[in-house]
Amino acid sequence: MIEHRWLWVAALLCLLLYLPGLFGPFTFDSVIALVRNPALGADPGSFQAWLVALDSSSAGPTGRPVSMLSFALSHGLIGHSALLEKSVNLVIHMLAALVLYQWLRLLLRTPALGWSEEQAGQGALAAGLLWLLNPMQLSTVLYSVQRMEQLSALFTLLALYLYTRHRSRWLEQTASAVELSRTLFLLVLLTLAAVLSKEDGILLLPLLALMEALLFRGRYAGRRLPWLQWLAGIACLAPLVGVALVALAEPAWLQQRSSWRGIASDERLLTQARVLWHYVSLFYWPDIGRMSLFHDDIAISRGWLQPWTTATAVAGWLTLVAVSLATVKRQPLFAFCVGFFLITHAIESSVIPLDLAYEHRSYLGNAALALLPVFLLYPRVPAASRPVVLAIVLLPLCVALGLRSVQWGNELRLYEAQLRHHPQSEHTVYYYANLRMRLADEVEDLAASQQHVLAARRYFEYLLELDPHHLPALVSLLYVDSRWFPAMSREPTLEALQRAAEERVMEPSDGNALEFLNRCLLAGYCEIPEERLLAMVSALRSRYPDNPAYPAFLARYYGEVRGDLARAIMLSREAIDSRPTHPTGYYQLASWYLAQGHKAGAAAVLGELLEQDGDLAALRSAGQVLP
Amino acid sequence: MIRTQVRTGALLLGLLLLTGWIYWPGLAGPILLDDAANLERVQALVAKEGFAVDVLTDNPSGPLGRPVSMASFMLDLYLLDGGIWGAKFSNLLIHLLTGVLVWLFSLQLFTALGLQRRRECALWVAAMWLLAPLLVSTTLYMVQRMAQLATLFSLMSLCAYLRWRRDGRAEWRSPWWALALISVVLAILSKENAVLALPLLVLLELAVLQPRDHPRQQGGPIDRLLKLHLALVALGLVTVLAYLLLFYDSLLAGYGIREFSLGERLLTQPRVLWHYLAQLLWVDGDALGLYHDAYHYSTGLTRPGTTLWALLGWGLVVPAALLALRFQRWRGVGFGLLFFLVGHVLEGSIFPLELYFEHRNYLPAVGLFVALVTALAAVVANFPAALYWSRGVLAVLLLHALLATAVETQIWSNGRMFHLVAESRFPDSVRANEGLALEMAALGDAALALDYVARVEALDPEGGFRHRLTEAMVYCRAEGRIPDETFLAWEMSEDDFRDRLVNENSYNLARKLIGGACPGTDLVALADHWGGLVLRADRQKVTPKLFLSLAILENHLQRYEQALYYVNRLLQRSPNDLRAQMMRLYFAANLGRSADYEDSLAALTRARDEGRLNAQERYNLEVLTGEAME
Repeated sequence: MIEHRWLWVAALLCLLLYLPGLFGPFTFDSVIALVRNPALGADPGSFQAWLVALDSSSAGPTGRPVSMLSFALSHGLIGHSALLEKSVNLVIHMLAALVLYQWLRLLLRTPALGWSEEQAGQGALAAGLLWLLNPMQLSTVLYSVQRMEQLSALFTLLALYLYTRHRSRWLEQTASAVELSRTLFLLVLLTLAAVLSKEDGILLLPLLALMEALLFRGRYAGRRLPWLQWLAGIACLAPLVGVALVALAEPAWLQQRSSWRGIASDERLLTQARVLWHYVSLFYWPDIGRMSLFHDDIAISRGWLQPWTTATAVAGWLTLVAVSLATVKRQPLFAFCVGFFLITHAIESSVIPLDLAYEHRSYLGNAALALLPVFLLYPRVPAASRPVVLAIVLLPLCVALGLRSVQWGNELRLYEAQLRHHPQSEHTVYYYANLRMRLADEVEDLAASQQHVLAARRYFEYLLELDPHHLPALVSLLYVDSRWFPAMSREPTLEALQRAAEERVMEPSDGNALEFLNRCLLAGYCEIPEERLLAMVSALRSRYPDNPAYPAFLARYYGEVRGDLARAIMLSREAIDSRPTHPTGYYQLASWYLAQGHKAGAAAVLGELLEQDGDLAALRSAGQVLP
Repeated sequence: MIRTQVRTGALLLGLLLLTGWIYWPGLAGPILLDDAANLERVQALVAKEGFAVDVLTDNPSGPLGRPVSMASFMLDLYLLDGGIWGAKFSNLLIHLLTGVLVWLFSLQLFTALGLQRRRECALWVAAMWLLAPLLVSTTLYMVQRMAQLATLFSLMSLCAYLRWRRDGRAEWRSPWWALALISVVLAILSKENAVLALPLLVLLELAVLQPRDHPRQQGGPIDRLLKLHLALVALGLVTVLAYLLLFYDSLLAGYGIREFSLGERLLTQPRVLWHYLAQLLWVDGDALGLYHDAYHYSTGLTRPGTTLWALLGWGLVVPAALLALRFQRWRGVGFGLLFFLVGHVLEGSIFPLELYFEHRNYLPAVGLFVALVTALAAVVANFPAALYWSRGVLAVLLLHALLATAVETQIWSNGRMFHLVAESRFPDSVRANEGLALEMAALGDAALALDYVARVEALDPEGGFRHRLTEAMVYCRAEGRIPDETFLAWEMSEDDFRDRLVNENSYNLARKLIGGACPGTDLVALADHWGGLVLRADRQKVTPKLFLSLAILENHLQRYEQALYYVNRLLQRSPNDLRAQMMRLYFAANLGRSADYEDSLAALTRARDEGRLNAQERYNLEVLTGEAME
């Protein structure tokens, strides 16, 4: 009962601390995935429109329909609202903490751990509070699009709770066939829900195996089944096997993706050892200055001693694993926490060439970090002192969480704080400069506007010092200079753009920069001689002949800026031919035909698209374009 | 109990709303194939006071005129917007209403079978039927209202019969058996193949109700009912045999218009039935559509190889289904499979119909879903632990179907998209390519449209004059005129005169021309050239419809001499054609040909006195004779 009261207090505290942050804007990927996603909230009266919204995420191979359903619901019923999305995320966070608490309460009472009911309740509450109120979790909760991570974690925790509840009973009792079947069915459903929220939900399976191997130890109906424990132990290694299979099966894909990030697979693996320690340190030492939406300023490990912390980080993890294995019989919870943390990072922190670090990746894994100190300290703290110790631990966490929440409540404050602590983070500098550029348009006061423009320009230049080929920064600088400093020579920027086209390892996100350049050209701000533009795109096309973005860019230039529809049609056709599965080129080509008044041509192009990709999104879009 | 009923009702209502929601975009869809002629005819007759009854009594499709279906089209005009949207909306309402009957039938059937969780099972059957993507082309194709109503009344008949036989009773004083019979009549008057409701009733009685009521009292009502049904089976067999003996030659003659023979059709249908079955259980969206005219028919047991396997498969399924009838838990499976097969026995057997149409599954699909759900129920009855997994299987099947249905209704929501997708799914279909050619023409691009006509010619090199007519329609739509050099190059072979589609398309083109669809065309030159082709041909080979096409064209040009000539030729081939008599009366009056005039007047007066003229024809006769007197 005491714990239940604490739960309400914790929920209220969490709400209060997060409240300032709820009023912040959409950030980073949330803008692309939610705000600029035309499928969300489009035509709520159409069933088909809802299905298209569910399938409108390009993140991950599954399209994450469960998460997209939640976004579609909020967008469809209320509209684009950062406050709503963040509030929903906060509710999910509290729900997940509640499930975590319930799960740990059961887990700590398993015979392998042997905690009493009271101890388990208090321990679970302490771990739950550490997880709920840790400021590191904020960058998942208030980063709207990371509802995907949250939902995946929520379903995973539900499955762990369900398994623990039934499995605890089956330690001494035989499960009936119906009970077994129903539990298995629910676990399959929850696994599906987790995976369809975010693909790392598949890690639920090795997590279940870890629990079985270390805590239930193959004991069933009063008997020990060694094969079950062995099987579970082997299943724990599935993530390792999976990662190895990906590396072996898709080396070309890995290499291509790695080239975007400018980091080789082995370098990435070495770096991740340090990144994982970084997550651990952020959780236990909640200095909000070190926390950030972006951690692209983390140095890449180019070798075991470059930087030297690489070797110590790897050695540290190996030691932890060795200690876990050595003490697994006496202290299974320690091994469980280490295993849980490592398994939850097996996909995003291994060979798959994603960005190096994001705090949200540790959202679920932090549950193990929250449990570990409870396990280590709880038995050693006198019963009477436990609430005081917990309060002492939670107080700085709450202060840090509150401060971070205030930071996140205002975009300018957020990026300024991040910039102060992460001046080497290219993402941070770029988004800050962009924000200042946007504010220059939004403020009415001329002097303030000029201040924003100057700041934007300064930081774009600073970004080019960090990376002279940073295409988005170059395009933005061109825009700033063309619009606000027309007397300035744009020659150096144009030359830098040409060099970037010739040398930069292009990333998919650079397409947005080209899109911006097109808008700038269309608005008449950016005036680039045609031959310069052609030279730049030619350089890109010769390096990336299969990328349809470059002929499509030129097609838009000729179609919209120059009004040369015949050339636009030719270039759009080239874009389609270079990647026939990419739908954008078809819509573009159809739009040129329609501009020409050639309706049948447009219809025929859309017919080609439907032949390539007859999914609902293509059908609806084609239906809107069809004459 | 009441809570369960409320929950079931709420779920059923939710299911109906969901189905309506998914289908909604499809209501904005195109007018297709036979729709236009049907709609125009109904609109034209209803628009004139006093002629509406002609819609019911004088419909040329089917030997009985399908008056119930025609009445429903009339109601559309009176109650709804009178256009294609209203007609499709009615189709959707009928689909939903039929879904309720599917649920009711399943519930009563499962009660008779003693199935556990019968309410839930009935809901699964209704859900799978309502959301089956294979049935979209029935619901959203206006003219398939006929198949829909036939199914609706057939199910009503089955429901009434089950109600009559509830609790092992069979009281002749009860009105339910009469309702069952009336429903069968209404079903047949909706579409003739609903006559299959009778064997389905017999199947229901023999496979489900008699075993349920076993042991029966010798000479009691149930025993008498068994004898009656056995007699009906015997009567059915005799009827089939008699039909084959008496009409075998005309049956074979019917294959003259098909590229396949009777044997080839019989070899192909087992494959077609397996294809339907697969499409109902786990649909392949790319194989859905109206245009299955390029379906590869079987020319031998191993050509293609799947023919033999399909035959063997049904050879196993039928005995297995019969065997399943012996076991109470599996009886529903046997009944469902036999229901599916009986439902296909007319259109999937000897008659020279086209090989494949999705709408033919509208009623049989119920049997398949009954079989599926009862099979899973039987598994659960034997292994209670399988309950959740069975629900999971059904949920996955339903979800897959729901997604495909949502895609299909989206495709059906836009005429151009419909034809683009149809052509991409059925690139070998002549109809799909023709449809797309006409769509491209409507968008004003004759060259692109003619590319598709060229594809049609490549697919069907023996199409001859049919392709020229398509080409003419393309020019009409794209440019508003048929170039002289196009129609002056027309030639007609003997095969063209025999081709049913040439005759139909000729008539359609003539109607377009006189309707002003191609204002820039030199109609006199076209009529002269076309008439010349017909006159040079053997008169016996020219069909009445072709003479009619030329007659209405010449009438439009007010060249009554030529018009009278064609209509006289028409009457030589088809002396009882009252419409032609009416035309001759009119042309003769205009030309002052008293002999022809008197001749037609006598024939028409005789027909009027014998009650063979419909309201419009009677009116026309009065007007024509009045004008002549003036």
